[in-house]
Amino acid sequence: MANATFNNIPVPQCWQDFEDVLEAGIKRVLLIGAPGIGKTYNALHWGDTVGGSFRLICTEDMTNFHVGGGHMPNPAGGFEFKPGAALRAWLGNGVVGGRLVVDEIDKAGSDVFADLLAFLDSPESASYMHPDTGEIYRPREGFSAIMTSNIEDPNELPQALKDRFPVCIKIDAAHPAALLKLPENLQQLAAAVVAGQGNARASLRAFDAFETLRKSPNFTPMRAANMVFGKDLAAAIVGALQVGTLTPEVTL
Amino acid sequence: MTDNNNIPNEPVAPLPNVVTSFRDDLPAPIQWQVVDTHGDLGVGVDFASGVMAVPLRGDSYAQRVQLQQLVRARVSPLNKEFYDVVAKNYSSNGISSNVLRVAETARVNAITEQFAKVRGIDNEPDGSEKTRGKRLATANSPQAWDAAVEYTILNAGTKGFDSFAAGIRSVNPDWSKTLRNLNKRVAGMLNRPAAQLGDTRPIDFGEGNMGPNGFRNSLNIANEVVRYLSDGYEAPEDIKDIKRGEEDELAKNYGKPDDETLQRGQYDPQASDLDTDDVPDHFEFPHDENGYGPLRIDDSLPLSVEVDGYMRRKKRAAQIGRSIGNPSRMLTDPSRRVFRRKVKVRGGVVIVDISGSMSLTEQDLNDIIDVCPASIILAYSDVGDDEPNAWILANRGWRVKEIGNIGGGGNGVDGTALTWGIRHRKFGEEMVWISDGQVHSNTGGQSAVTVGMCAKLIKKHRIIMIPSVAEAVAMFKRGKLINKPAGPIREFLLGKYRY
Repeated sequence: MANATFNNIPVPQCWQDFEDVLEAGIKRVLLIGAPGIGKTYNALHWGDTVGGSFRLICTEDMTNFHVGGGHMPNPAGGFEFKPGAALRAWLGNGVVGGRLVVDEIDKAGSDVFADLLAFLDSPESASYMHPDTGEIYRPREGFSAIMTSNIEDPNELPQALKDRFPVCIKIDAAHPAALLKLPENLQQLAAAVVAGQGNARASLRAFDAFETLRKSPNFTPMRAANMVFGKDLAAAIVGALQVGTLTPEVTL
Repeated sequence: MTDNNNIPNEPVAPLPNVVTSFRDDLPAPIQWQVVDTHGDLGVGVDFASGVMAVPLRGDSYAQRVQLQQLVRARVSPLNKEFYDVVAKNYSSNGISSNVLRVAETARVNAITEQFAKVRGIDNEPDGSEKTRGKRLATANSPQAWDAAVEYTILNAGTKGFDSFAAGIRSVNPDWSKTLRNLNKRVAGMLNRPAAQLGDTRPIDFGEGNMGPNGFRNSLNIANEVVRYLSDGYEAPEDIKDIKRGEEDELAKNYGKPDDETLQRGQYDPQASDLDTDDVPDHFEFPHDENGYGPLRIDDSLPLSVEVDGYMRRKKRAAQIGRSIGNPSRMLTDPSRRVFRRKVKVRGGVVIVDISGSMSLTEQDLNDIIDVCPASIILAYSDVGDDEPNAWILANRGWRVKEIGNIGGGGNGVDGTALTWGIRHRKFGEEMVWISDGQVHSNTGGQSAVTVGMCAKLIKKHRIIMIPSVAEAVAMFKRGKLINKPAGPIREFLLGKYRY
């Protein structure tokens, strides 16, 4: 479906691919692309998320606690098992499995990584034993996992992980749903700038921040743009906006 | 509260993706790549590969070039082929694709100027414009004039043009006056808001060739420019004369430029349709509106007079040879020329257009017969009503005694007369066509098809075209035949036929 629209805004091909893949029943998808383009937002919200979405941000300092779970002190002075994001995603809403969204998996340490591999294994092989009760957990029907990364080339990922995410989509444009949060006069500009490259691009978060500053009485639009985008990019954006709208006097 | 607007960054490239996202005629977003260039070399926008090449320095010159290319990305046609198709559709106005490209650059420059003024990077004259004007006016050639016209439209309405015109005026005031007129007209055409000049709503420029609405402004400029180019109506007379001479040389070579002396002008049609590959060796015209009528040769003119020096050619004594014809010369001739060799007589085929437009008298035809008696001479003119329309005046040694009152009618059979001549031509012989080039079809009309096929025939078979009997007689007497295509045939060979 090449010409799909979202609230009358054409849906970029990459997001259309994402939607079609989920609709077809694929439960493991890898999204790669520049930061701030809306990968995580859409991974958390797009498609069937009845079972809930559970986010896991990988860092070098994270532990297995964040993945499967671990013991935390409770008010009674003892310890209590708290499930991690992956286990909670497995269990979902108690009826169907939820969605695990794993950000920046390439930054996870080796022990966490091994735990993640176990949780992302095929449903027939995956299981987790409760350390206190010995109960065995398996992913509920409907469990899905979407992994996001800023890497350019999916081949940079370990083979075992790549194998668990056979579908990889490069996200090179902002999703219309994210753009619609911006005021109308910024949407087209933001879509183009977010899809840019190198130092000639800015993230959706930057546009959110710009819009917040622009509303403040302490900021002129140009000052807000300089603050958020930096002087050179702000000037380039204004220049491109002028030429784009064919209005020499227009500003942000 | 502090802001970080003074944090030094690497120079930010222009954002063509932002600019092109506002186009109305873009089927899908272009993933642009901005490439750095050294100065002007390689600057441009390639929509197909998504490359914008501009100098990425921060100086005002680089900023201006970046702005100009951003405007081009915003408003110009997306396909390179667009210019060729439009030029073909408007070729009857004399517009070539190069003229369209320059006119388009003029439109881009005019829009750029509006933004440059706001940003304070508008073009100020630096003195080089005046020097350039002087240099071109001093050169006084069609190429220099065309370059002056190009500079004028690319800088119409700017201070740079005023300085340029001042330089021109110091050498040739007439040039300056004409160029100022052009400047005034083009500047008037471009004096519109950027949004109007750069409108990209797609419209049809003929035969389904869709392009941006704003390109109509470029088309209007192109129509104006062709009137001022070196072969245009408004060009200075001396320039037009020189240009005509250059084109004559090109026409002599059947419109084919060579690498050394014969060149097409920058704004001439670069690709004439004169590809002769589609003309078969034994081509014959159809007898309809796209062809010529059948030849009806009048056999009432007997070839009763023998031409001297052809049938009873003397044989020449020679020192070498295969047969001894004069053994007595062994004793009588100091050079001992005992052999006999035939004297070669130059034959050929001469086709003469004797239609009314040629205004030929019987004496003119006799003059032709007198200077090329060994040739086949066919005269033709269509008078309609199944009357004879061709007369053989001489045939390799025999000629008519009295020609009488023939011809003076229409054309109608130009093409068939040519193919008749080609059929009767012997290997290595010259074929001459005496005609003003005003060829007309069976039905009296003239079209690119009928003119074009005659032009292709003369190019393919290297037929020497001479526009008048007087010139032909002079050439035959001189012994040197020079191809001088005329009329629509000449225009077609030069790719300038207007139909």
